[in-house]
Formats: sequence, structure tokens, C-alpha cells
Amino acid sequence: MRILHWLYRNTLASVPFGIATMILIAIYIAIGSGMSSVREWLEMDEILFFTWWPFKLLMVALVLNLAVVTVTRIPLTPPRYGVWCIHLGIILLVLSTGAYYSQKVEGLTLIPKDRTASHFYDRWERALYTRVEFRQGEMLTLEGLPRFKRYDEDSGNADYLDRRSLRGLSPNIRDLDSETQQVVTVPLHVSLGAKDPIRFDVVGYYPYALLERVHRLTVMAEGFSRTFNVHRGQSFSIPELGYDITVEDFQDDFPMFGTNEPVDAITLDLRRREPIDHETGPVRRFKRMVLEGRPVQTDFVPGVEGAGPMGQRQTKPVDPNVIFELESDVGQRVFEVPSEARDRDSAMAGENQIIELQITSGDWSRRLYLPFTLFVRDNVWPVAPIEIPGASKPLSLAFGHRVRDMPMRITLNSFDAVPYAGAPASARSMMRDFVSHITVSEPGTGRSWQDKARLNEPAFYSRSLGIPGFRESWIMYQAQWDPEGQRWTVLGIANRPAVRTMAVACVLISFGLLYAFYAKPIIIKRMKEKALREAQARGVHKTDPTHANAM
Amino acid sequence: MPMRCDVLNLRPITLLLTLVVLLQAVTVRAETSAAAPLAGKVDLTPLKTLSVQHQQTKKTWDSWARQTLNTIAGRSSLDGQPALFTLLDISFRPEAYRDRPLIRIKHIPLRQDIAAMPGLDPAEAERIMQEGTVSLSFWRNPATLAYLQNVAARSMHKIDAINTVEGGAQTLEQILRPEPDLPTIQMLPPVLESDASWKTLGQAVTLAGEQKYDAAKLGPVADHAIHLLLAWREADAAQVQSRVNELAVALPTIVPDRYPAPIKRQAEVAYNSLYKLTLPGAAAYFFAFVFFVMAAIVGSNKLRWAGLGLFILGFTIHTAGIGIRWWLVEKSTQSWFYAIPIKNQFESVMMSAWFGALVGLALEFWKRKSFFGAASSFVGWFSLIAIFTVPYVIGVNIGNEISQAAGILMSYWLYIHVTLAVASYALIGMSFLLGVWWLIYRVTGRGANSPFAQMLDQCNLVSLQMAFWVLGVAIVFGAIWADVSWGRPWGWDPKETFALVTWICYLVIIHVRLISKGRREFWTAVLSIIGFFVMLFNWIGVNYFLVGLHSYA
Repeated sequence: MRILHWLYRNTLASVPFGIATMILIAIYIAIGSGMSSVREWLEMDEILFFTWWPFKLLMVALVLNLAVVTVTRIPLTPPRYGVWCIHLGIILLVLSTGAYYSQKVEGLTLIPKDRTASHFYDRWERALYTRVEFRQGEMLTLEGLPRFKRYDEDSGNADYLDRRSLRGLSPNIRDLDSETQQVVTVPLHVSLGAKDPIRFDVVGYYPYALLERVHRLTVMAEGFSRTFNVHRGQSFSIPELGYDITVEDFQDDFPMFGTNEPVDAITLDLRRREPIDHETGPVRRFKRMVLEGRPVQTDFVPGVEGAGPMGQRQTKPVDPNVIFELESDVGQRVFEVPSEARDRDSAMAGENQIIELQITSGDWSRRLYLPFTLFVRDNVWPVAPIEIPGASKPLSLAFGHRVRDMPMRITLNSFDAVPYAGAPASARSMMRDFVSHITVSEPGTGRSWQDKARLNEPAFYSRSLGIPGFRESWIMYQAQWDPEGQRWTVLGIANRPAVRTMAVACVLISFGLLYAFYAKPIIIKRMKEKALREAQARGVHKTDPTHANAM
Repeated sequence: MPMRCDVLNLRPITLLLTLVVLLQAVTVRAETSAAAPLAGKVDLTPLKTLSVQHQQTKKTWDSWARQTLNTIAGRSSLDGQPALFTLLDISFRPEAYRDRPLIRIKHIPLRQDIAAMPGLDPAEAERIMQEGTVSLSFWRNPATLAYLQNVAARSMHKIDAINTVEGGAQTLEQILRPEPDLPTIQMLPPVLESDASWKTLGQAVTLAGEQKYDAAKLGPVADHAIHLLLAWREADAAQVQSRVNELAVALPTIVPDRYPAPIKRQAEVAYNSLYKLTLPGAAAYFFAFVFFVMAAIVGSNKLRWAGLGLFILGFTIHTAGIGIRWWLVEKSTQSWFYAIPIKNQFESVMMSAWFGALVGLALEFWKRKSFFGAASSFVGWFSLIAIFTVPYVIGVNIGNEISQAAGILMSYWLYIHVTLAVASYALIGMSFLLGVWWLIYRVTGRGANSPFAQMLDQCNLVSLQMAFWVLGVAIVFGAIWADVSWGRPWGWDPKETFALVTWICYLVIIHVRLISKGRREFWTAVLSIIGFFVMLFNWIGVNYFLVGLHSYA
């Protein structure tokens, strides 16, 4: 009991404890905000980090400390009204902020002109999407998917992905029953016409990467043949032939010299350890363009005056004894872009993240890379449909932000980009404003109205929650625009839970501070004067005004 | 005898053809000298006060020239000549500048890449590394372009640096045309009331119908412009001066109703030449600071009055700097409210110091102890010196030149939130100085209970209480603005969070004073200093070291 009392006295009822808590909160915030590497190491974005249990614990400690100290140590007298207001305001602010973050959803919706949007893309959460022909499968939310670091078998950390939300995923799909012609929910493999259930496992994650095409290059010489899987920028050596080779470029549908017939082409930079005698002289380095399915080997010698960037085209191969054969697009590889080379805006939007997915159906299994697709429901999916053995229909897959339904519908009637005077409404001009003229409609009641969402002037929608006085408020704000013709708009969509309570808390704090700093000294002064006057009236010559300090 | 061409009665198309023919004739006699033959021989002051619409902002030719040259060369004068002289010389004698290294490369790693370009002369590589400039012909050389494509492909983070240099090159190309030409600037207000886009001289002579300019007025301007070009190429200083003077008189008369008032244009040029009133204001504040400190130490009322006089002088210059800028910005925004100069770092620092000075002045009149005067004059001096120096020292554009702000900033919330935030920063700056002063006083062996130390502490307390309240309200108003602008009042953006950390710092001070009875002054001083550096990181550091939504703040 004594220990509990000691604890109570030195924690909940202690001002130094409160100060220590505030300092810890400041340090926590400074680390979470100023040292993004710490958050990234923990695989947390700002929201996750600031809703993590240590922060919640600090907040609980602060609220309890404030509550106990206020009630037990600060008398509710006129000079102390300000402190009470401040402390109540802080408690209310912490609690309402907690409620806010537990219910907050926000994201973006893309609305083409004259079209209506009923969903938006969650800002934080991501999901896996399936489609069979035109039927959308159940969206699989990928909770716990990392954000900042690479995870795959090569990195030796794939076990991080061993979570229920990322492994053994098996969606259902709404399909037409062939016998009853009714819409029924069936497992994905039934809709595909496959025998075995299909399961998806996320086996790799790349936060900022590019998918590179892999080609097969066969090198042949007398008594020598070797095949390499190569990609752009790759270097390799063939000591037997005395070559160091770099894959300089790969071009789709390169127009062949003379005929202009399109053909895939690879350009190799070949460096010889020993020079080759060529008609132009000894050559140590040359470039060779190899065309898929063509025996032609065109060589270029760089560094010749007047030649183009490829070098001087040779009429005869520099080394006719070495022949290359190209087979393009035999696979893909992930190229993780180094952190210093990443575009900041793309990284923040998560545009370049890729997941590696393993698809299993019975004994069959395949891995594929799924790049992130912005506005996934409204965009073309980048990966070609997959043929699953035994299935009668191909399966389409995509990876994007989680889609959420909006409580209202928004139709874009028109969009105005308003430049500053002196320039047209083009991407190169400075814009004064962006205005989406919208129609907001309520599905339940059929009520609809015209509104505008413009910079700093959003549109609002609120609906009753069925309890008198309680309404759910949504905001629609101007977020992005189409610089090429203003054919669409992107609105930010967010709910606003507990915002009014937070506002009340802020008013309490602001008022309390003014009161404590500027009204309290006047009140104390008057109280002292009054006490003096009363004492003088009672005939007492000395008073001992035991009032608090001027703070 | 200079050539004379009476264009008063010519139709616009004839005017244009005349212009083209004359320019062609001039080209034949192109010189190749790099030196500017007219340097120091002509006075372009009359042209400086003409107006132009540049980057959707109305400004004087002087401002346009400074900004344009700064975009190209990272400086606002070249060879000791005014920017306007240099730009006209580039336009009229392009052959002298095509191969001249004018385009600035600020990014050191990019300089290193370019210096390592195969085939580049080692001396030139060394010069590029040292001076950080390249010529337009070098930048546009196919070999350079191919090499830069490789650089960009290898390291994407250099794309921004390449694009910045490319921006400078494109700006130079607008001035440095293949043939000698007039700068293609929008120098004529539109005839139609509904049209907000100013016209170039070339456009003006071709316009017909309702948009057509009065040929009787336009003709002399075209005539003066052409002959200015011809005389410039002939290095005929007298003729150039004559045409400059006549052009400066004729141009504002074409659409007089829509041409900015002469006093506004003259004020802008004066404002530019007086370093936007930063240096004069800073000088007055500095001396006021010295006098206030001496007055506080020796207790001299005379010194205090001297400090107060200098402080009022600095404050007046400072106020004039803000007022002139506000007046000039109004020209482009057409709204006094949206012209309030607080939309970029230059303006916000200037405004912050002004609020600090205003509050400091009021408190100084109230307390009469020189402490508030010293603290606020220090803030004024430090701020004005900083905004003058930063662009030169670290080469960062903090918005010194008047331009349009991003649309998102055109909100009344900006004025409420930012004004309060920067005002609190000034008060935090004052608190910092008083904290440092108190510590120095203590370190030098004086007692913490002396009246001087007590007064310092009380003044610090007044400053930090105001700072605390104002910053808190600024954060709240920022949250309200964020709610309507970004859909959430609080998004844990670094600017928001470090403002909160600063606020917590002052919250801690207030509570530490409650519990640390014996050392409350010491902790107040120490935490005031810590709070100042947290604020400084929030105001400046966050913009450069952290990624967030307040990039313009």
C-alpha cells in the first residue's frame, strides 16, 4: 500500500512526472517526424508511428497526470480558472485526437468529366485485386504490408511477410450461376473453371523498384557456346573469348536498316583484352547491335571523328568469329532504385512499389511481380492476364490502394483551372485556383445538389447517424487536376470525426492561456487589495496573502 | 546621322515587315567582340522604370532583368553592369554571348560530372569546377546533351539539378536569339479590358480588330526600339541614350489607363536598388541594439534614447520595406488583401521581424529598461541581415523577388496562421536573446537575485508567455486551414510536429518555473535558448532537411 501511495505521489500526482512526460512526448514526436529512418526501420508511416502503443502510453500518462494534478493540487478558484481550462482542454484534445485517428479514413477519388464516383482510394491501405473477364473479385486488403524496405528471399528477410493478411489469400468472386442464372458468390477457382482452389502468397516486397525485362543472349564461337540471361546495364565477362561485355541498350521494334521492318534489338558494348586487327586498324572496343531472329551483326567503332553517338558503323563485323543470338523477353527482374535516385513525390505516393506474388493451384505454382497501380479501379491493369492450367478463363491481377465506398456520390460537371492573369490554363502557367463544379447526391434519399470544391474552399457533406445531434461529416477538397485539357479532377475525400470536439478543446486551451497569463495577475492583485482592505477594516496591520506566484 | 524611319502612318503588318527587314540588315553587320562597347557609356535608368508582365506578374524592367539574369547566371549583375544593360547587350549582340559561360550550375556533383566529360579540355574542366558556369553553345552541344542523358539515367537525383540548369539555358535562349533582336517581353498592356495578358511588341503590331493598338502611338515605340537596337550594335552611345529616353517616354503612353503609375514603378526601382530596404533597416537596428545594450549595462537614459531613436528609424525603414512591397505586389494581384507580403520565406522573415520590432517597441515604451528594445532590435537586425545574405551565401532563392504565390496560399487562413506563427517566432527570438543575456550575466559572476538579473528574467517571461500563446493559436489556426485544404487538421507533417515540439518546450518552461524555485531563472534562460533552436529548425531546417507539405513555408 505504501509503495502504491509512493507511486501515486511520484507519478500521477507529480508535476515533475508530468514535465518528464511532456519532454518524452516532445522527444518521441521529434524522432518520429525528424528521423524518418527510425520510422522506416520500424516499417511505420507517420500515422502508424503516432498511433503506436508507446505514444498512446505517453498520452495516457499525460492525461492521467493532468487529471490527477488538476483535481488534487489546483483549487477551483477564480485565479485558477485559466489553468483548469488549459488542463481540461489538453485532456479533451488528447481524447478527441485519439477518437479522430481511430475512425479517420481519407483518400482520393478520380472523377472524369460528366462521370460519377462512388468510391475513393484509401490514402494508407493497399489491396490485391482480382478479375475474371469483367467480374471483380473480392478485394484483399494487404494489412501489414511493409512500406520502406525490401523483403524477399534474396534479402533473407521474407519471413517478415509471413502474416495472415499476406499469406494464403483466397478471394471469392460474384459470378453468374450457370444453372440458376442467379448472381452467387463463389470461390475464385470456380469462376475460373479451375479444379483446385487458388491461393495467393505475398512473397516479396520492393518499396521503390522498376521491373526490368530479361533477355536471353547466346554467344557462339568456334567450339564455344554459352547462354546468358541479361538485362539493360548488365556487365559480364567471357574470359574464354577475351571479352568484357555490357548490355548498353534494348529497343523494342527497332526499324531494321533498309527495310524498316520492326525487330527487337540489343546493343552490346564489347571490350577486348587484346586488340583485333580490323580494316580500320586495331580495335579494343566496339559496339554490336544484335537483332532478334536475324543473323545480321552490325558493329560500330566509337571515338571516330564525325561519327554519331554509337560510333562509326562498320561494313564488316569487327570480330566475325563471335556470333550473338537474341531471344527477347524471357522474364522479368526487379531493379531496386537506390534511395538517392528516387523521386521524392513518387516515393511519397508509393507509385513505384512492387509486390512479388506466388499463385498456387494444386501442384501448379507461379511467381509474378505486380507493380503498383494508381487509381486501380479506374486504370488499365499493367500485368497481362494469367493462364492457370486447367482453368477455362484467364485471371487478371492488380495491386493498388484499397478502395472504399463513399457515403455520397460525386459527379464532375466541369473543371476550371484558373491561371494568374497573363497566361493560359496550361501546365506551365502558375495557377490561382482550381475549381471542380460537382453534383453531390445522397444514395439513400435521392437528394442532390450542386457544389464546388476549390483550393482552400472544400465542399462538405454530412449525414445523420440516427442519433439526434450526431452527424457524420465528410469533406471533399481539390487535390489534383488534369493539366492536359482538364478532362478529370481528383478530389480528396475524408471523414472528420471528433473535429468539433478538438476545436472546443483548442478554444479552452487558448482562452485558458490568456486567462492564466493576463487575467490571473489582475485577479490576484485585486484579491490582495481586497484582502488588505478587509484586514484594514478589521484593524489588522499585517496580512499574509498566501496566494500563488505570478505564473 | 542615325537612320530614321517614319512609321507613324504604317499599318501593323508593314511595321512588322520593316522590323524584320531592319533586323536582317543588322545581322549582316554582326560583330563578334565579346566586350560590351557601351559599358558605362549609357544610362538605362529611364528604361528601368518601364513595366513588363513576366511570369504572370507585373514588374519593372529593372526587376525583370534582375530576376532573369539571376535565373541564368545566379547573380543580379554581370561585369559590374546593371542586369538590364547585360540583358539588352545579350539581345542586341547575341554573337558575343553564345560561347560565353553564363549559365550557372549550382549543383556541385553535377559540375563534377560535367568536368569529367570525355574530351573536355582540362583547363575548361577546371574552370567549370571553379566558376560553375557553362555557355549556351556548350550546353546545347549534342555531345553534352547525350552525356547529360547518361548522367540523368545513372543518377535520377541529378535530374532536378539538370532541369534547373536547363531552365537557365531556356531563359537565356529567350534573350539570346539566333539573330540580334529585341527581348521578347510582354511590355504592352492589352487594349481590351477583358484581356489580362500583356503583349510583346511583335504581337502588338500584328493585332487587329478590337485588340488593335493605336498605330499613331505604337509606331514611334517600334521606331525607337528598332533604332535602339541599331545604335546599340553601332556602339553609338549618344543615339542609344536618345532612343532610351524617348522609348521610356513613349511606351507608357500607348495604353496609359492600364500602365502602372510612374510613382509605383519608380518606387520599385528604388526598392530594388536599396536592397529591398533590408540593409538600411538592418544597419539602424544594429546600432540601436548596441545602444540599448550599453544603456542597459550602464543605466544611461541618454543612450537609451539614442537606441530608441535608431530603433524607430530602423522600424520606419522596415515598415517602408514591407509597405512598398505590399503596394508593388498589389499591382499583380489586384487585391490589397491578397497582396499582403507574407507568402514566402523572404516575406515571412521580414514580417516576423517587423512584428517583433512592433511588440518590442511597445514593451520598451512600457518598461523603459532597454531590455525589450535590445531584444527586438537584435531580432530585427538578425532577420534583415539573414534575408539579405542567404541568397548570396548559400545560393538559395527565398523569394526576394516579387512573384506570384502558389494558388494554395491564396487564402485568408494564410494571413491568420502565418502572421501569428511568424510573430511568435520573433517573440521566441527576443526570448532567446534575453536568455543568453541572463546566462552571460550569471557566468560573469553577477548574482541571480540582482535587480538587473530579475528584470532580465521578467522581460524574458513576458516574451515567452506571449510567444507561447501566439504560437499555440497559430498552430490551432494552421490546423483549421489544414482541415479545409488537406482534409485533416493534423497530419504529423514535420512543420506541424516541430511547431508542437517548440510549443511543448515553452510548456515545459512554464511548469519548470513552478517546481524549480531556486533555479527557475536559470532553467527559463536555458530552455528559452533550446526553444529558439527548435523553432529555428522548424522554420528553416524542416524546409531543407525533411520532406513535408510546407515546402513554401
